[in-house]
Order: sequence, then C-alpha cells, then structure tokens
Amino acid sequence: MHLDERAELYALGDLDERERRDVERHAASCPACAQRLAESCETAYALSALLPDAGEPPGLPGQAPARVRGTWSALAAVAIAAAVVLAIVTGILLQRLDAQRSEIAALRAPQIALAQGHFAHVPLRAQAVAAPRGKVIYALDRSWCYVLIDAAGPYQLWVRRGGGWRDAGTVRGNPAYALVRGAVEEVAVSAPGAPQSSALLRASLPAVAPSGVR
Amino acid sequence: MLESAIRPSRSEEGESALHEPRLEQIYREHGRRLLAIAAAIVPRDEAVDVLHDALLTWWSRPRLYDPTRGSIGAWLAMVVRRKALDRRRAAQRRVVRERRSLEERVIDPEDELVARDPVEIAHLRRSMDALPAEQRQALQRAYFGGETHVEIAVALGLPLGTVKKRIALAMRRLRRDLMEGDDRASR
Ligand SMILES: [Zn+2]
Repeated sequence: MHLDERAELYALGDLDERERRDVERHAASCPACAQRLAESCETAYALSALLPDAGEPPGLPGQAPARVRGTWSALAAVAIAAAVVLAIVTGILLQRLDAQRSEIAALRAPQIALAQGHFAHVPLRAQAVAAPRGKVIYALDRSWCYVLIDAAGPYQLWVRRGGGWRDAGTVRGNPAYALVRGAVEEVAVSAPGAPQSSALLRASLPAVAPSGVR
Repeated sequence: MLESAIRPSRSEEGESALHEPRLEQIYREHGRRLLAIAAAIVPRDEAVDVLHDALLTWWSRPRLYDPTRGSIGAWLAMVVRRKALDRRRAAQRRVVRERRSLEERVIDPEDELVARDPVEIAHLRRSMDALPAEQRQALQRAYFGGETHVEIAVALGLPLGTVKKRIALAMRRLRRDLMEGDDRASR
C-alpha cells in the first residue's frame, strides 16, 4: 500500500518508531513514494524560513591548523574528524587535540566503527557553587566518552571503571575537553591537584540511553 | 581544505562507518535553520542538544541519509523534528510542564525570522495564507507550535484521521506552490 498522510507526518518527525520504519521500507521499493517523501521533507524544511530566529548555533569551529594538511597519517585524520565533532559541540579549536595525555587519547578508527552512532549525553552536575557547566557524550557500547567543560582548563579528570576511581589526566583547552577511551561508569572533574572527593562536577553514565536519545 | 584533510584513506579504512566529514560545512549552511526548527519544539538550550544529536547521528551513521530522498538539509530537518518531539514527549511524561498558550505560539509578524530573503518569506506567507483555514490551523500548530497530530486532535476535539488529513493536505498544497515558484524562478 502506498504512503498516505504518513509521507507528510514522516517529514514532520511525527510518526512512531514502527510507522517510521514502515514508511522507510515502503519508500525503499517504491520510487513514486520515495519521491513524495523527498518532496515532503523539502517542503517541511522550506517552511523553516518562517520560524523565529533562534540565533547562531554555538560552537562553530574556528580555522583548522594549516599543518594538518598532508602531514598527518590516516589515523590522525580520523582523530581530527572526531575533533571536528568536538569542535562543533563546544567550539574548540582543532589544535588542542595533541594536548591530550595518558588515558586521554585520540579516538581510533575501530572505536569509531564500534560506536555506530549509539551515543547519549548527560550533563555534568555541579557539586559547588562556582562549578562550570559541562556535559559528557558517550558511546553506549562504552568504547569512548567525551568530557566537555564550558570553561577554560586545566581541570583534573577522574574516571571510575568497575570498583575504583582513577586519575585520567589533565583536561585542557578553552573550553576544556577530553576524550577518554574504554568503559567509564562515572566521571568527576576537580580543580588541578584537588582530590576526586572534592570534585566540582560529576556525572554517572547510565547503561540505558536516556529517553528521547537514539 | 578541512574536508580533504580529514577524509580517511579508503585503503586504510575501507567502507567503514566513517563519513566524508562535511559536518562543518553542513553545520555552517544549515545549523541556524535546524536550530530554529528545534527551538519551535523545545526550549533553546535543549534545541542545541537536539541539533548536536542529529548531527552526531549522521556523523556516526552517514548511511542513514539516502541522497535520493532529498537534500541533506531536508533530511536533517526531519531528524531534528523527530528528536525534538521525542524529547518533548519525554519531558512531558516526567513533569507536567506549563505549556505556552496558543496565542504565544502563533508567529508574530514582527519576530525576526530565520530567513533573510524577503522574496522567500513573502512567497511562503502567501502560500500559508492561501490555505483553507482549518488546514492552516493544523499545520501552524504542528510546525510552528511543535505539537504532534495526537496533541492537536485532543486540543481541537477532532478525530486523529481528520487532523492527519488536514496537515497532509496543507503540506501538499504548499509543496505544489513551492515547486511552481521554482519553475517560475528558473524560467
Ligand atoms: Zn508507494
């Protein structure tokens, strides 16, 4: 059966998961409906012209460092691709990537492949009045997490894996951010040299995605 | 220059999950529109999260987007609306939020619009105004008020099927209008 009103509701993001899959499955084998779906999406997008302006989205990355070109290996290129996402998320300049130390490491290709788009983000909760804002973006398969702090570093990063807390190194940059590989259950951020127990920010990374994230 | 610098070599990565990172370019071109779309549905700080979610979804699984189904901007707009509606539904389940009144949700002509092109704005406004009143109302609530067809049906005391039909008819009429406009422009 061809798509009825579902083509338009699909374009408006107003179908449940099952209906959406039905629509996509049908469009994959019916060129007429695929065309109609495309036109519905274009119409919905065109309508956005009449929406009130919500301003420039934050964190457009700055100029990339010129030395990136031609001198980096493919693997470094992957790390830079990850950094572009980071940059977009918090407005960080790309050259901060090489400032990462110890457990904070560049994301590698296999992990990106593993991540497969199953990620979620949780806010870092303030533990002190003067704490900065921040959030953690993490892969649900626990292969990586980004820690993003909306303030100039350095900060001390702590991660908990299984039983105990470990010093994961210093988070630098302005805003400060770090990429941590491997399974992390909890994240804490303290002032440099301060213990984990006096953290400014904390987040636990739930195993199940918060609702609305997929 | 950034694009070519960060594209992984095919030999090393094969057809991995990596995309060709046009992310920055897409963000520049469509970010403002997409943010406005999300902000019509959820508060602005959440709208930023929704936008990032949508971009990260594409970034990590680029094959979700099929170029034969329209432009990347239009596809992302659909993803943004879906994620924003999901998020708002989830928030409503947690707490009964104070909803903005319908009056407030109606677009004020004095508002600064996301579009800058007066011809584009005038054309769309004319198309909206030409819709039958009940279709315009349904589309306005759905698109500019960020309501689902279920919410609209409840609010207006109408059957679900009627609301769906009105939204769909309004969109189809706009689509015809827009395509005619494109024809005129290209002649
Ligand atoms: Zn069909």
